[in-house]
Order: sequence, then C-alpha cells, then structure tokens
Amino acid sequence: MEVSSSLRHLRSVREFVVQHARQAHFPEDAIDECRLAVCEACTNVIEHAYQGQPGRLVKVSVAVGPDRLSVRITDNGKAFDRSTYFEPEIRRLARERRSGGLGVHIIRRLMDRVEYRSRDGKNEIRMVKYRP
Amino acid sequence: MNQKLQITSEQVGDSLVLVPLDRVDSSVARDFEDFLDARMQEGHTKLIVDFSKLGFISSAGMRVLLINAKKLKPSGGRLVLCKMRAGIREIFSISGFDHIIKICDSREEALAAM
Repeated sequence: MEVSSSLRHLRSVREFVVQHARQAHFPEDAIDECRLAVCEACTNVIEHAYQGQPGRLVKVSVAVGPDRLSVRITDNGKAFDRSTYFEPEIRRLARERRSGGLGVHIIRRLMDRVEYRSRDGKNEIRMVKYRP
Repeated sequence: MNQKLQITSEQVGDSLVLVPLDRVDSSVARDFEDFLDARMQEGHTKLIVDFSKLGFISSAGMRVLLINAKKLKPSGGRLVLCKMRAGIREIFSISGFDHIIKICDSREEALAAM
C-alpha cells in the first residue's frame, strides 16, 4: 500500500499489516508486536525521514511465508544515520522532549530481524517476524 | 475514522481515573499530553490511567505517560497505570517502562497504590 506522509494514515497502515497477519493465522501476541513495530517505523519515516513534511510517499508491503511475516517500508526522505543511534536510557527520555530513539529500540526488540538500507535517495527498512 | 483523542475521566476519592479509548499513537500524542497537562493545571496530582479500553499505544503515547509521571513526582503526586492487556503489558516490560511507572492489574490495586 502507499500512503502520504501524515500521521493520520498510521491506523490504515496498522490495519493493513494486521489483516495480512490474521489471514496467515499468526498468533495475536505476534500480531500485536508487528502492529507496533510497523507503527513505530512509519512514524519515524514521517517525523524523521520526511521531517514532518506532508504529501511525501510512504510505501508499505507485506509478504507472508510459511514461517514468517516480512514488512518492507520505503521512503525518499532523509536517511537514518545509524552512527547517531544509541539505545535509549529510559529515565533520560522523561527529561528530554526529543523522541530519543525509543521507536527504533522497540522495533529491534519486537521483530526478529531488522535491516536498514539507503541508496540513491531511497530508504528501506525490512522487518521480519518469525511464526512463534 | 476518528483522528481525535478519545478519553474519559472519573473522580474516585482523591484520584482521577482516565480511560483512553481506542488508541494513543503519535497522531494524538500531543493531545494526550495537553489533556494530562490540563488535569494537572486543575490541581489533580493522583492520576490513574485505566488501559481497559485502549487497543493500541505507541512509543509516543508511552513517552507522554513517562514525562507526566516524572512531572508529578516533585509535588508528591503519582501516575499509575492499570488494566493493561497482556500484549501491551509486555511492550511496557521490554521497553523498560515498567521499572519507572507503577503498573497494576486492577483499578482497585491502582487506587490502593496512591
């Protein structure tokens, strides 16, 4: 599916992923985790890659195999700089107004595989959840 | 499709019980923060957030809870969460939030923790 870079589309993206996961009979707790990971990843695209700029393209695709659910999210915004990412210290997040990398931390904890790629102005995050 | 924050509140003793409905994601996190700020401005210092009608919360919503729990501490206030379903409870656990914010199984337990 394709949506424009607005937070109001998060719900439809979540529902898109959940629908595929349910059709593949993934257990509900694994679906909960995929739903949150996808929401965090799309929020990061909208808020960081596109820096809140509306009307930009976010592509989300889901593939379900016998043992896994794979999600790919692509954008054409600013690349995620992994060198600036540090695992968040939760107590510090309470003092600071910035997002603090919590979304990335949650994605990494919830999904079994997470890969980022940036090339030729296109960014991609691929996330895999194995069937429990 | 409702894009606005949906939340109800109820005074129970000297605590204010807040029941967010549906979801608290980044599209409504600012409204959620404003709502909590407004309750604190009114003088409420004992806040319970009842998750029983919340289907989804993202890190943006979790961060609002964390910030407000910290804000209440100096005045002797408290923010306690309760009635989370297992999936959401697990997410609070893996992100480490449960070490900072008290999470109770029931509303009664949350009221007793105040």
